[in-house]
Amino acid sequence: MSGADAVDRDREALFRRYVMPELQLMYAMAMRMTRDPHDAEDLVQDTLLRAHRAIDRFDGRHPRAWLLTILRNTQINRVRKRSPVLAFDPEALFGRLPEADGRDTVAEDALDRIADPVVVSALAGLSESHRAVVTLVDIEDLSYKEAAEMLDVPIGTVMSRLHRARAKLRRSLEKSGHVRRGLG
Amino acid sequence: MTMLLRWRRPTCHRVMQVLQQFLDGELGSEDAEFVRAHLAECDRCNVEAEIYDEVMRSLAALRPEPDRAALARLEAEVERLLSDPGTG
Repeated sequence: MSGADAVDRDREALFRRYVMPELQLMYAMAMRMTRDPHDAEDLVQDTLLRAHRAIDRFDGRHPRAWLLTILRNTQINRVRKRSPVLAFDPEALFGRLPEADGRDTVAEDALDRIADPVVVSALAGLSESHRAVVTLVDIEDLSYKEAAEMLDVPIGTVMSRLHRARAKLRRSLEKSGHVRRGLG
Repeated sequence: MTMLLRWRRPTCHRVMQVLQQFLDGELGSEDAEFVRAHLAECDRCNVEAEIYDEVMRSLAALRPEPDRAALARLEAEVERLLSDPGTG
């Protein structure tokens, strides 16, 4: 076996280990960034190509954060190519409100889950930047570090926004009787 | 009266400061153990934790269902990429 074959085999093993398990998350994030199923798929494909080229330089720490950074940068480049004046605005993309009419338009083709109108209405009471953090951490289950990468803000900002956003959501959901009240 | 009694114990105050990180699994193991032990013995803080847990579960329920067809196509794309590394 040649040295090149061995390198390819190593890359394949690394790719299967770090990238394959994150396809679903990458696609979900791509849907939020593009709002179009075909465009999202193209974006993930471009990201896979880049990740494949870069995998032997990846240190194995935080694979999700690594992939999300590539995904984000890939999308920034795509947006820039299509329109040099359009800025990539992560808070607007991730802070978008799910619709309460039974379909989250973020994934029109993908879901048939009913968005609870009480929860959507509580989310509507948040600022866009707070909603973006809640979307990434609470809805998409990203870690603080991963959310910070996606939003390009410090991790402390993610934490403070998340805490304030959840306190506000808690008050809204308490008022509507969706969650019980504390012992005061 | 209730407000004055609220979080009257320094431990409660400390736990409330890191409760969100604890619920998110973002606390170190030693701190997490400290919070867990406190929640086991303090009703007031435990109810707070349960309420935030409910809030978080309500939000998690908004996660869109995965698009199985798109995922299958992407998995096929990965296999294609790995079987023909020249394209990478």
